[in-house]
Amino acid sequence: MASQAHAQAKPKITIGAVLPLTGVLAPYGKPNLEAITLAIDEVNKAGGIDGRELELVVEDTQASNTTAINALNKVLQSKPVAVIGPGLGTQILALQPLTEKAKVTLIGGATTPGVTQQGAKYYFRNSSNDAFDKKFVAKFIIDDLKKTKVGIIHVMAEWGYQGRDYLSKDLKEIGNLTPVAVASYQPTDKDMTAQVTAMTSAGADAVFVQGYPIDESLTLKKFNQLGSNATYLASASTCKAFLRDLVTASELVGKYCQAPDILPTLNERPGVKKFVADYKQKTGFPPDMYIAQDYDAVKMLVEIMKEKGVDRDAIRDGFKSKSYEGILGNYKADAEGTLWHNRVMMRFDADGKVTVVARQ
Amino acid sequence: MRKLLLPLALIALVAFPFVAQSEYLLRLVNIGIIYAILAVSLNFVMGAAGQISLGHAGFFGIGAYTAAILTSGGSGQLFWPVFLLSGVTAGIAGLIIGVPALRLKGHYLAFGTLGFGEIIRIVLYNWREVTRGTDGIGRIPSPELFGFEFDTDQKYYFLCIAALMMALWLSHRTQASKYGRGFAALRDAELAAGTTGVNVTRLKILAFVVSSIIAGCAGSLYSHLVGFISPDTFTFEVTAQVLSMVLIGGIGTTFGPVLGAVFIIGLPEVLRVSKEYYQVIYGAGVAFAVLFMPQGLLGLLRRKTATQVPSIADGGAEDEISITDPAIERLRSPELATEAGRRDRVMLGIKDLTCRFGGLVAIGDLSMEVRAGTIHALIGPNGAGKSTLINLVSGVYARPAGTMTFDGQAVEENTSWKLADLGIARTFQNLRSFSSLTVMDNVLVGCRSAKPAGWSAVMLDTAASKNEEADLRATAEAALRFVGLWKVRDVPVSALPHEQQRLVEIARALAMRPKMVLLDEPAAGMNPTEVERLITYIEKMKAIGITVLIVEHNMPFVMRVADRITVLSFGKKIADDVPAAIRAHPDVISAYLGKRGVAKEVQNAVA
Amino acid sequence: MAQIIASGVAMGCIYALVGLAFILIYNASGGLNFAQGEFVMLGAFAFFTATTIQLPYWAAVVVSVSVIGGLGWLFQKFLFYPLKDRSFLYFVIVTIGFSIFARNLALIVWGPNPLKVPPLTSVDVVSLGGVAMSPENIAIICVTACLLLLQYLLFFHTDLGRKLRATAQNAQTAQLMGIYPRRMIGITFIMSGAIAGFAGVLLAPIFLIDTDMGGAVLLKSFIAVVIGGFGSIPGVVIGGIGIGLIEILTAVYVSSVYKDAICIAILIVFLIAFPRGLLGEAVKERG
Repeated sequence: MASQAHAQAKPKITIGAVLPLTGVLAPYGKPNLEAITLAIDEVNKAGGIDGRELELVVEDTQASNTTAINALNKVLQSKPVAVIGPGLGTQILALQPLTEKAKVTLIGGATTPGVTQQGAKYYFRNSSNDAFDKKFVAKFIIDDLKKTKVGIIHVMAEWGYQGRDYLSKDLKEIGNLTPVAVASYQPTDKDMTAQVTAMTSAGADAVFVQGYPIDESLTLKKFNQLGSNATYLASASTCKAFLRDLVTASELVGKYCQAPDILPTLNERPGVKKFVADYKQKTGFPPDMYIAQDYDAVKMLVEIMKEKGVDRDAIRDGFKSKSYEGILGNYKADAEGTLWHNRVMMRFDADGKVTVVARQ
Repeated sequence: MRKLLLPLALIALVAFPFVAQSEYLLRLVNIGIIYAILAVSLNFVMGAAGQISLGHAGFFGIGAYTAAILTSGGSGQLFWPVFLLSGVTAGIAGLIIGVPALRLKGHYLAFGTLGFGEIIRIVLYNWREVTRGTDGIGRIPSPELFGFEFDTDQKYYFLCIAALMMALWLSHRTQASKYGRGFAALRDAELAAGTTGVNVTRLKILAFVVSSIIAGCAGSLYSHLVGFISPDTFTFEVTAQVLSMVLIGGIGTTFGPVLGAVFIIGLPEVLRVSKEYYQVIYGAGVAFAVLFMPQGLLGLLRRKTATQVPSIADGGAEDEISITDPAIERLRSPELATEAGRRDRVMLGIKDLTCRFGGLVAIGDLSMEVRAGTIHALIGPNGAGKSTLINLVSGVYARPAGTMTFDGQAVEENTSWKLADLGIARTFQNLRSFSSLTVMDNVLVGCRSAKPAGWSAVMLDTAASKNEEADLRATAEAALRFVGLWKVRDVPVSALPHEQQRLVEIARALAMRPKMVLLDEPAAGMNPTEVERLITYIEKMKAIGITVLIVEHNMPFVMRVADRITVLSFGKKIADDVPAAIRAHPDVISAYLGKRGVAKEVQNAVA
Repeated sequence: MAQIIASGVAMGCIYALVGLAFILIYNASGGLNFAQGEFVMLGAFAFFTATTIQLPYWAAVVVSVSVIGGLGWLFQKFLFYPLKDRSFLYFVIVTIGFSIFARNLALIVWGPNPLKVPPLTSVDVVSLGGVAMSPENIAIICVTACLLLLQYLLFFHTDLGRKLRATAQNAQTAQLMGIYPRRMIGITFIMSGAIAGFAGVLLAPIFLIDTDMGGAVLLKSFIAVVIGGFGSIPGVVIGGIGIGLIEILTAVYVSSVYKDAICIAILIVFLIAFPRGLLGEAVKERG
């Protein structure tokens, strides 16, 4: 009791979070916020940092960059030591100029390669870099699957375009392959018949899909429905979709999914098991790996503050140099500011099992 | 008190950024001001000209991207030339939209402009080589002037305020000038605006172009403020927001859109206290604001004053001018000023005129003449083609076949305002007043000056513009005194009784200094006293040399005033003679009521 | 190829249904309902809830369609009626406000994660005369055909239909004939809501249900309305199926990037060159 009263007397440490909580992008923010608050509650329950409690200041970015900028401005008013951002490339790009100017660390799991190529000094990506992910995918298709006629379906957003460009480049470099077909769709499109048909008619023997959970699930359904016999590979969005029951295990049989890590629900690491249980209890949903990575990001931030204090530049230096062991694994910044360097290729099998067929 | 208000407001505006310590609040205010500018620009198209644009985000986006593409990574000094260029590119887009938009009305225009906005959005998303797609464009510099950088929200505020002031001033000057009256006329009654000499095409395009220039400049301001733009900022949601600003603030008013912007930008901030529900409340709030504030916020703030209509039960006789009054020359076409100009000749000549609607022949091979300085009546049963003829002559309908001469010249023009310029004025069977304007302003729409002031002169309110306005007002006064309505000049025209609104239309026609006036059933709905008064005005028109062509059903009235009568039936001319001869014409009697049994009634009626 | 056409026709039927719901209101009242897409979305969510409480499929359909029809009536009473004498723009803004309200309310009620309903049948593909079609697509086409037939019977073979048509043509004259226009407009809003709700129910198994699903359909429905001729019921069906086909054929053979731009270009060409559309009456001026 005495220590708690003491803790409350000390000024709180403010952490900012700007995430899409309403609008169409809410699925990319609301579930993450739950993990962030979970982490902060745990830290506070354990006595905070040096007796100081953590306080989270949250603002909604909606589906708009303008709103995101306003939200960050509002969060910056309460002088946060660091800000957790959305896992969405464009919103991170919109926020970076402000956090650079305010010299405050921004952490967000946007895998789009471009976000760490703008020379930002205060941004750290608590997930993998898609440029390396796609090299991994290209290698897997060529070396392990031994496929030569690759088709690509992607969403018309930077995430999809960059995925297409990196995969095409890596296919060329590794196996001197050119995609036999490339098809794209608007994020709002729902009928994927045209895109899947384009793959079949080009004779693709492997199809890689890079989109968001909803449209990747619709693509998968259409792919099954049209009875294509090409090998189906997809980005981590399909894992997300699986965890949210948008696609069933039976629909996924024989399909591959590339992600920064295996599904947290299948992860045997004790930290992850506890996190999954806590998260499920809190929200009723199983978390995906990006959500777990946001949890790790908060814990990493806390570790850094415990070591180096709450000065903004000290925190940035901490992220730049620290090697942190989170529940999922190791985080250590590379030159661009990417913290996570693992990736896996999973295959969904008949009995609902998931096999990791390649790991890096 | 009122005098103090303006300087106080100015001091508050200047002091605000120094008092407001919060960067966040300042940013919000700056964005609010940019949206207010956008709302002012939309109000130009919708409020002033009555056109609909659901594609305003497109103009905003074109301006923003012009600025971003040209200045990204560059010097802040580029802001100034590029600011203007952003306006120009958006203005060109406005021109491209404005021209086809002429063909669309109401819902069709709404859908057309909606489609335009969507196309711009799709291009911004997918023309990645130029717009960098969803990634957007960053590193847009802060404006810089002689080494002074507008790099904080506090400094930028003054730039935004200056731009808003300019937009408001432009909007205010437009509304207070002849252009504003033209816009109002276009909005309230487009047909009548055309026949009153308002160049409808030019004004519509002008509205779109000016509006899109302002929107483009707002886009440039937005780019340099935020420093980063991406296509998701320029979606239909922005258009919807700006539209609700205009409607909630008060459409067609100068300051209403600004108030609306304060409401729409401020509301979510006030509601942010409730994290989960604020968007729900916001959506409901927008709907409720429209439902429960019919006059907009500005209407809510304004005191309601009941309109006092001065009585002119005596016919306003003491204000009327006689034809000997020198002011009458302001109404008489210069060409009718001399006795020679008024000498007997053919004023309107029609040859082989045909007009079909689908399979129906409304006018078939019609030829007729109206002699100068006469009162010529056009009669015939319903559906005879009388109103069609008036519409053809006044350019409301395009003439498909046949020739027309006016005062000895072959008429090639087909648009109503060009015919109006030739000297053909008209009134309408169903009242088409410019209902949002006062009586005086209705008449002023018809007035033309010999020395018209240009756009920039009017905006700057120069001496030339002031002189023109005084000249126009003198003409309007003469026209109003001609029909005894001078007393009610400052009353909104919609507050007048029916008969007086008809007279306003006549005054409006006279203010155009026409050679010929077409009156479409002027006596409809008038009581006998009112008809008497109408007759004196028509005779006064004839007395100053104006040719009058009347379509009318009231036979005693026609028989009294007409010098000559043309009878139409099913689009054909069946008689053309002096009233006495028409009265006895057997074809007319049978055509008019069809049955012999009632022929007597007709004779009685026309006797 | 046949697959592509079947898919295009099925999507086209959805555009036609939403467009139909839209023009029913337009014909009866002159109102443009920009929240029509939200009726589709709410129909799908209502259907989801009905299936989760273990209602049989048919009962879930009936319940959700009725609920959205009822919503249509409330919409008319509280949002349309007070504005009936004002410029159509005010109603447009109110419907946009309602759309923001409905989307975010749905987000709170049903959560941010997209939802899905059980498939219509356990079969993935039905072979119909050699053409492989999904059972959902067949359902969409059949239901659209049935709804249109019902519409036709209602409008042309019942007393209520005659009254509805009379109100649509001229509310004032209809009132003189002893028809109560307000009730007819109310009935129209119920029908419009029910049809849009049905579209949502049909889309639920093939789309995933999210708050944005209605907005995605609405713009294409607008195009269908314009192509068909503003206000024409057979026109909107032809327009809907036409735009569904154009969309998918463009995506396959021309460019999936600019297929939406091409659809909008068609809208603009029609507006400017053929404002009456394929089957429209003379251009009406309203508002």
